[in-house]
Formats: sequence, structure tokens, C-alpha cells
Amino acid sequence: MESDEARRQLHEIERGEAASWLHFAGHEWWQPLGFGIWSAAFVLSLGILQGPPRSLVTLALIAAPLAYVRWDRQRRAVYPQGPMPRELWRSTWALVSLSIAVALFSPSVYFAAGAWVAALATGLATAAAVELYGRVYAADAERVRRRLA
Amino acid sequence: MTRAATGSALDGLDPILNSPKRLAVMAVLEGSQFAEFGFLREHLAVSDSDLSKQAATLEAAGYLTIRKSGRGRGGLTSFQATAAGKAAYRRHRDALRTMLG
Repeated sequence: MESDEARRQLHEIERGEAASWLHFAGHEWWQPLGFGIWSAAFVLSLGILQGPPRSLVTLALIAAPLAYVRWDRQRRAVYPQGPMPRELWRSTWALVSLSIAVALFSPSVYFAAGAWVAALATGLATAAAVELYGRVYAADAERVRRRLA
Repeated sequence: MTRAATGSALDGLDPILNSPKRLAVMAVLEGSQFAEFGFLREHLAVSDSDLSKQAATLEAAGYLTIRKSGRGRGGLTSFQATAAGKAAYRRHRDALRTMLG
């Protein structure tokens, strides 16, 4: 096999392995809203409810993301696995950092202003974080597309 | 690169995956849990019949499984790489990388 042919095949390999990750670029309008409502409900369940109702609602809220992932997997034409293109690591770190920031922000608002204000603030912060993550991911995916064009 | 090193790298090359379309199918499946027919057709920019032909060859080699759900126009066909398919694909990819140093 000639070097040019080997290079062409490796390029096709990189393009193919990245395809499922690029499919995830571009989030939908309801996703920040949905995650915001979910996180606000989580804060309220921990801050307002007591005893068995709190346990039940909290368990349901923990199960909700698992159900979401299952549903999301079924509705998509492809679902990624394995190593992601290196450009997408930036958005992954953004997601981790934003999640930690919201997790630290929420209890501090709760202790300062109570459950309802904390729920509202957490919901808004989560929605903003999801929106930002979606934009960073889309920008990173565009860099991958340009490299593999 | 020595002749021996080149020779052993070439041993990893899979004749089934030397076809660019079949290699592209396996590359998408390497990075995916599964992929639907329509997604692969768009990625490869091929016709329905061409993709069906390539997929049938890969299925006959034991490199992927084809799953059909529903019937008629609303039915969906999806593909998943088998363990043997992934192993062959990775050997092929590693051989290419070795060849290019």
C-alpha cells in the first residue's frame, strides 16, 4: 500500500470515529430549561420536604437523568462511545467546572436566603450552564469539522 | 522503517477493510454504540443500495450486526460492530499507523 493511500485511509478513520460526537453538537432549546427545572426541583425537594416524601421525590429526581439518557439514546441516529476528538476536551472540562460551580453556589444561596430563592437561583444557574456548555461544545465540534474537512 | 517492520504492519491490513466505504462504516461504528442506516448513508454520501451492499459484506465477514425494528417506511435499520469486527478494524488502523511511523 502506498503512503498516500494509508494517509487517506487514516483520515477517513479519524472522520468516522468523530462522526457520532459531532452529531451531538447543537443542543435543543428545551434542554437548558429542562435541566434548570430539574435542578430547582432537586433543591426544593431537599429544602422543603421531610421524611418519606423527601426520600421518594429525591429518588425520582435522581432516576430522571437516567431515564433521560435512555430516552435520548433511543431517539438519536447514532450514539457515541470511546475516545472523543481532542478538541472536545475543552467542553468536557467546561461541563465539569460549571457543574462544580453550581454545586457550590446552590447550598451557599440556600443557607443565606432559604429554599425558594436557592431553587430559583440554582435553576437559573443550571440553565445558563447548560446553554454555555452547548455553545462551547458546538464551537469545539466546528473546530473538529474544520480539521477533518 | 525496516522491511520486517513494514511486513508485520502489512500483516494487520484487512482486505475487507481496504474498501474506503467499508472502512468508513467500521470507523463510525468504532466511535458509536450503534448507528442508523440513514446516518451512515449521509456520512458516506452513498446510495441506499450501495450502503446495503457494503453492510452485507461486513455482516457476512462477522464484522457487524444488522438490527431492524418496525416495518415499512417507518422501519429503522441500525448497525453495531461485533467484537471480531472491532478487533479487525483496530488491527487495520494500527497497521496503517505503523506504516506511516
